[in-house]
Amino acid sequence: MVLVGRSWLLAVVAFLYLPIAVMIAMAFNASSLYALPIKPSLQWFVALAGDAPLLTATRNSLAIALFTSIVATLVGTLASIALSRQAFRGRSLLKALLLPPIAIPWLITGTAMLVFFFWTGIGRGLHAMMIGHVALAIPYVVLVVGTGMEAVRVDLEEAAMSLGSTPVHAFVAVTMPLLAPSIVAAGLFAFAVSLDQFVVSYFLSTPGVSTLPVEIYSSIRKGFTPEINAISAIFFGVSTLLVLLFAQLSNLGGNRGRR
Amino acid sequence: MATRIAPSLPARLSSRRAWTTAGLLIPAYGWLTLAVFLPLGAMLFFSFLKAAPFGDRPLVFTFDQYLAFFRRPYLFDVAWRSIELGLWTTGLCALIGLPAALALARATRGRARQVLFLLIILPFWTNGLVRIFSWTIVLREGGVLDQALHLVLPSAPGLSLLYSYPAIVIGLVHAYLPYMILTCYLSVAAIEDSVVEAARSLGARTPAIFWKIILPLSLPGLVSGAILIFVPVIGSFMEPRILGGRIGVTMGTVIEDQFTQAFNWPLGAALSFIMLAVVLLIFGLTSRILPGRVASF
Amino acid sequence: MVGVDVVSIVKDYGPARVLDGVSAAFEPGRFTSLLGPSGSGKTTLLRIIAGFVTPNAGTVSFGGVDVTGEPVWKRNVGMVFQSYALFPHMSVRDNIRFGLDRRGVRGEVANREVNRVLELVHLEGFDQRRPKELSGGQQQRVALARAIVTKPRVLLLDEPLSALDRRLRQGMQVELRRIQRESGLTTIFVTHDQEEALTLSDEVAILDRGRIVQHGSPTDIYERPRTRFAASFLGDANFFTGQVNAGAIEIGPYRLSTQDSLPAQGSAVTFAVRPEKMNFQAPRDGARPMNRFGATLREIIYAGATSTFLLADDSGSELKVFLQNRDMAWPSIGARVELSWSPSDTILVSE
Repeated sequence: MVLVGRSWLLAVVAFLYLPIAVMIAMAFNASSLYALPIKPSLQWFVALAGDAPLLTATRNSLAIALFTSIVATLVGTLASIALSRQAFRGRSLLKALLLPPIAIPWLITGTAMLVFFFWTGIGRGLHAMMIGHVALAIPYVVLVVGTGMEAVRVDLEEAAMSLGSTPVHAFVAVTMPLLAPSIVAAGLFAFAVSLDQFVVSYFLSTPGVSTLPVEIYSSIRKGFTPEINAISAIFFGVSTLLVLLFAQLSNLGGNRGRR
Repeated sequence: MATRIAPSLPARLSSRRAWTTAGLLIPAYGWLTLAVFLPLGAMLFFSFLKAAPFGDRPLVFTFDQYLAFFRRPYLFDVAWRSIELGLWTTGLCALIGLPAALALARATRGRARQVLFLLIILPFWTNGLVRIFSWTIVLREGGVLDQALHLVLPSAPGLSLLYSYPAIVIGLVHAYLPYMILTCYLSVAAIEDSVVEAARSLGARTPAIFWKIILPLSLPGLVSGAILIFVPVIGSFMEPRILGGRIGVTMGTVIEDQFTQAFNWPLGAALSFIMLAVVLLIFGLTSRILPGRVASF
Repeated sequence: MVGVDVVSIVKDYGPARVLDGVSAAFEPGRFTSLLGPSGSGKTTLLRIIAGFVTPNAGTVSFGGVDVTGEPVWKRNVGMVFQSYALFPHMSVRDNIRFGLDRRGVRGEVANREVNRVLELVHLEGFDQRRPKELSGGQQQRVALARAIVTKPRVLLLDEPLSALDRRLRQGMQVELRRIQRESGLTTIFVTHDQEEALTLSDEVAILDRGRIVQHGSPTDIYERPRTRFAASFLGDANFFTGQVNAGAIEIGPYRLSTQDSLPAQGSAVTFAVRPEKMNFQAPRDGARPMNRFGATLREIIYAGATSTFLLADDSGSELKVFLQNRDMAWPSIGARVELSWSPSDTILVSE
């Protein structure tokens, strides 16, 4: 049974990674027709450097992701402090309100933003995507930081206050240092959410102003070039790095027991 | 003396605390209101309009958009196709994911389990578009699968799965399988060895243990996994477009068309809200299982 | 060294009244236990004294000065939490120095103070460790050191020993008592463990449903419980109900006397007798008259040094007797026996 189970797991992992491995391999293949065997070449990566729209889109993506990560982390952490440290009426309702942005299909959220932003004159473009991405990232930040807050027991702050700390000092001296890894993890997560976001960006982009995923999508739809392999391979690598960093910080695999 | 100062004290503290709480919450919820809740409201409003109120066009209210299904019978086919796609994807994810979760929980341990766990959820947080795109290289005519087949069977006819229904299903299963493994794993890992051993000591064999113990206990994971997959799949449009080409017409692509091609926003809004109603119905029916699960991501 | 006084404290959580007019004086340098079952309000009272909870009515004063309106960080209290609440990101030294730092005591002076309390709790040489590198008992002592290093006006302990195992707990009880005596701090200790309260305290206050039902020395509270709750919560007790008749209590055919003053002729009274005060026969040299009461032996529970005897009286209610296993001349199960005890151990209690 154990052997069957392990083989099944390996098959699943192979299924998950094979297409990605193929894509990465092809990014290094000189043939644009995916001819085997692979003739190693970096030409598609070199070609990327000359692809102005793609570079602009990449810059946009990074700018939006950076903005999202900073703003969503700040705003989400504040909300998380209130939601997990203070008892007030309507708290469970507010917690429930975090779910729609996560649970409603992005198609619906994205088109709703398009309608509202267009109608109210906020319009589309970079600023619209920033507004949208921050909203999508806030619930994740609240959840990640909230989990971190649960690990910091309330009586630690009380102990600090019994020793003469004001509530603000207790938070800064005791809670913040213990919460820092969670906040950094939340920031990374928000960055990844924004960087990978396609659907909402798609509806909020304009022909001149788009993000990397949107640009990749339109290239695929136009009939793609192997350059997309190259940028996708880089993209996959960056996402993976972010996730690994996040996993390390937030103890995703459950390998470090936190007291 | 006591009655003079004491009663006012909690009141004073609580009003200050209320302001602090509000100050902490307003930025986040204000943002969500601006970017999610008001837009959803605006879309609901649009869905009752005859035409988008841009330029000089007057506001004309109508329920017509919601009757679209009766006006345009092909929408029934599209809706059914989307649901069918959701069922296929969810079903295949369950068939592949539950055994994988079981194997992860019961046939691996220690470092190997951590690495496998991370490997399985890692693609989940990487770019979905890139992952879907990678399948086009594998599935197209003259693609990797085709070439591999010809290496084994040189005389086989050309194999092109791209732009077919199976291609969409394969891509979606690939995209959402980690969800199912994760939710099932959370349930399966909570089953204690002693429960299985107790069943064994009572004479249950492996099939009986699966059907009577493991399956019922992993049901919450299966159900929440199914919801987390079914809901986004019926709203998917990028995957069917890339992998299905002309065949890939789903509710998602129809809605997208209303906003990007046909510019019939009120119809798109109404279709979105019908879909949202279906989604909310699904969440409502399973709300007792779901919230804790969603929170655990 | 100051005393703590609470006067007419009332605390409501929504519709639930947790403390219902509690008044108590905690004298300077005394070790007082707040003893009660969960939900009795003992922890809430402690948190009100600390300043974490604001009472709806009533005052808290330290050394005669009203501190009810002062927040916890201005009260200069030392508190040891049930979970110890050591700061996990700081070394033992930094944990202990935290309170000194808040009071502006820094540098060499602070280090000397830290060394002084480390010595007091026998943890010299542990000052660079992180809390998680210490055993439960050591963490407990760090928490105590952190609480007393600032020379607080009052030391508050919230069930600090409950997380330790039995052996360690007994050792820590001795340590705690020693440290408290050496530091001379007015100490208030919350516990639900009656044995702990009796061994540690100068005084015990028993709480029941938001009220202090009895406050006195451990012997006073154990030997002279005033209510049925106090008698049954602190130790075991046999309860009897009878009628006052001519200076004695009548229960069926038995006439029982007490040294407590009895109410009016004919009224119903309840009294308690501790199981270890009872015996199966009257002592031979009995100069004083003993109370006697018939019962049937139901069961014997042997526990090495002592045995517990479960009996039933004529109305069927259960009685309990503790005896030391000195001669082991026990009646057999089912036998009719006569219990005897001194009138001075017959304690009238209110319901």
